[in-house]
Amino acid sequence: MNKILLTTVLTCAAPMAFADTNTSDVLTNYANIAEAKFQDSLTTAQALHVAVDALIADPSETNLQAAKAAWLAARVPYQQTEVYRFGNAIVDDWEGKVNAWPLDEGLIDYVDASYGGPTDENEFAALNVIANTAFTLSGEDIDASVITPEFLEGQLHEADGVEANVATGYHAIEFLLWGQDLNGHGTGAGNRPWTDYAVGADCTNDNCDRRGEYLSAATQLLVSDLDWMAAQWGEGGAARASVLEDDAAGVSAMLTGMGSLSYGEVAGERMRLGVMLNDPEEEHSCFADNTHNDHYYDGLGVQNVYLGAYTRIDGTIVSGASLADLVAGADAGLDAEMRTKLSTTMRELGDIKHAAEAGFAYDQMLEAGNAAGEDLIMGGVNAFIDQTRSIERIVAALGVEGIAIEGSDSLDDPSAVFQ
Amino acid sequence: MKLALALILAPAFAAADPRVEAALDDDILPGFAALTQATQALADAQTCDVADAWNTAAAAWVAVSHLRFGPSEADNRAFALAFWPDPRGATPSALTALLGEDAPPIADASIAGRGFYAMEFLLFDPAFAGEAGRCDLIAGLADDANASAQAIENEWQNHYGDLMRETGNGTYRDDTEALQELYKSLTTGLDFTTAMRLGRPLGTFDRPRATRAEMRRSGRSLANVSVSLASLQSLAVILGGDSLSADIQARFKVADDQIEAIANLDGGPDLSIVSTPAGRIKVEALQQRIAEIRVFLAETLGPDLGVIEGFNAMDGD
Repeated sequence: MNKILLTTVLTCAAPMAFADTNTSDVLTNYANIAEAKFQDSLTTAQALHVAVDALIADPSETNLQAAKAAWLAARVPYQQTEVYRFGNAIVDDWEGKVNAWPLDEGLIDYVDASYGGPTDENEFAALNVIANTAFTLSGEDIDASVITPEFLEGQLHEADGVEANVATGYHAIEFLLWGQDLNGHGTGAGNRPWTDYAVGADCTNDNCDRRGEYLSAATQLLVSDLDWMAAQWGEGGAARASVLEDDAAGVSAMLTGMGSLSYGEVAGERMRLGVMLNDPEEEHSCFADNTHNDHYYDGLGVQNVYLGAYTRIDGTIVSGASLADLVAGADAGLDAEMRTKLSTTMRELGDIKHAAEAGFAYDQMLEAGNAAGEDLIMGGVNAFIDQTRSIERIVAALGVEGIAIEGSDSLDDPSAVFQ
Repeated sequence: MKLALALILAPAFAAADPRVEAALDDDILPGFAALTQATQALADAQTCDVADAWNTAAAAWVAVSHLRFGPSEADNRAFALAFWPDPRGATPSALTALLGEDAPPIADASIAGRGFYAMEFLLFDPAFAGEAGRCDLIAGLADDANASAQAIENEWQNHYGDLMRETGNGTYRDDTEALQELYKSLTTGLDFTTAMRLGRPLGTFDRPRATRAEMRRSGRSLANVSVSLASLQSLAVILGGDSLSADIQARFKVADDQIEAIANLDGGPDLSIVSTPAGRIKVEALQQRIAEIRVFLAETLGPDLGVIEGFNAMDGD
């Protein structure tokens, strides 16, 4: 399927010579920021792992809340890495393991009766592997008696070729910590009791040991996946080498990531669709009710890649030559336009975040007929769409000359729809 | 002084690009007018036995479905007319909600319960055949679709067409940006057919997914490919002009021939032939022909128009 589809990439006509900015400095800074973001994601995932182990070893309300807090903190740097998707094949090929969404959570654990059973699209939508030590997949008997990272990654994830069978990554862990959000359009996130991890007679909803085993395996996997990706952006890493190999292709990767994340992914798939479907399940972090932050930090990632400066989780700043400098050298007016639009987007996303944090939950914003909620979300959508137009102008201004066939995962790659 | 002179003279030179003019007058505006008419006929029907009128209207939609910008994006009108694909089965549950006691007004309802794809469930899926309120909901959805179609056409006629003709505005800074929008809709339309209309039912060799074909309940799956290609060809020929039109037509003809070859087979119209190896090969061949058109346009028409590829709504995952 993928082979026969035409894939196209933005190709900047080489050589791109700009008076005061060296393109390779811009790309080096882009790679440095990626490395810092993935390292920060790793650090916060390691903290999550510690918190999860504490919950399993010593189950309590306090330890459950601590693990949730660690998960929320881990999302802050990770969401800012998403702008490295789409343009960098190495990130795209890997991303489904850590941030796949939406998921049919009944694959993993018990769900409410209103969830339903297997669907036309997914036979395993209600498998509940925590309660089942064996099942049959495409005629093959699967042994699920021990839940290991290898089992999750190799057999359960995307079982039967269905993308909604998400067995690994942030959102699987989110479900294991919060549980289903059964509040519909009302306030409140998922409300899993800490006793779902209790030992012996205190255990609720059965199989607490296997639930703990799953949570631990999924968190281990997240840590090892992030460790791998951080290394790809370090000195001598493949992702860094790929970006630095060719100035034009490197700048193209930057712009492709910014535009695709802004438009097709966040504005389209994640934000607008939710409003139009009025479905509280169409929330990026629907268990934790953290969707306002998901969007906000995605937007921030686009902005900090353009401006070439990222503030790390310890407050230090990674900065250097930026795409903004490059654009300003070619067309100062266009640079000003881009900066203004990025700021506008952040203000709109900030409005959503502030309202959500003050008690107007993202679920409520999605409700049919909730005009204020729709206006808030559509404000973010429109700002993302508007900034994408300026990104396209930058592509033109930096001297895009045509297209290259046989690109990697990239702009306008129709197969991306299946990822 | 020079600047002032240029400003005074500018309007005299502000003729629209002839390709944009032709695309609007010969293709886009007639296409949306046909959609308004077809949905009007559907809304005017006095019975709920409207399969024929629905078919005509669905085809009119598919013919303009690639023009997903401006008027069809405003107020989510295109989504309200057409929500597909639906990997999480939102349409049947949205319809169940609309048939229930606390149904919201249709205009406020989930897009999954509105438009041509939702109507197809009501008209052709046995699960809804005996539902109380089915006829009223069909009529309500037809009115809703007609209102969306009218709103799109009005905006094209009264506002958006001028933005594309008289560029130098906030939406299109110059003619190249208007041409790029048209080129992008063309390539997006081809990509959508390749990846969605054909790619979804094809699935993988080991696991074809016939039930994921577009509008399979009414058997329109292959017809939609045909209608869409005809419309895309028309736009491509306008944009390609004399130098490219013969080549463009020849390539679309090859794809049309492949459609013909599938249409007469058992399981061709709803693409369920993807389930057999022999049938699958034919559908893959069609997909390949369309991918070749896409490559050809990217190699020739894009550079000819001087446009970049740009971003589209399918960039997400």
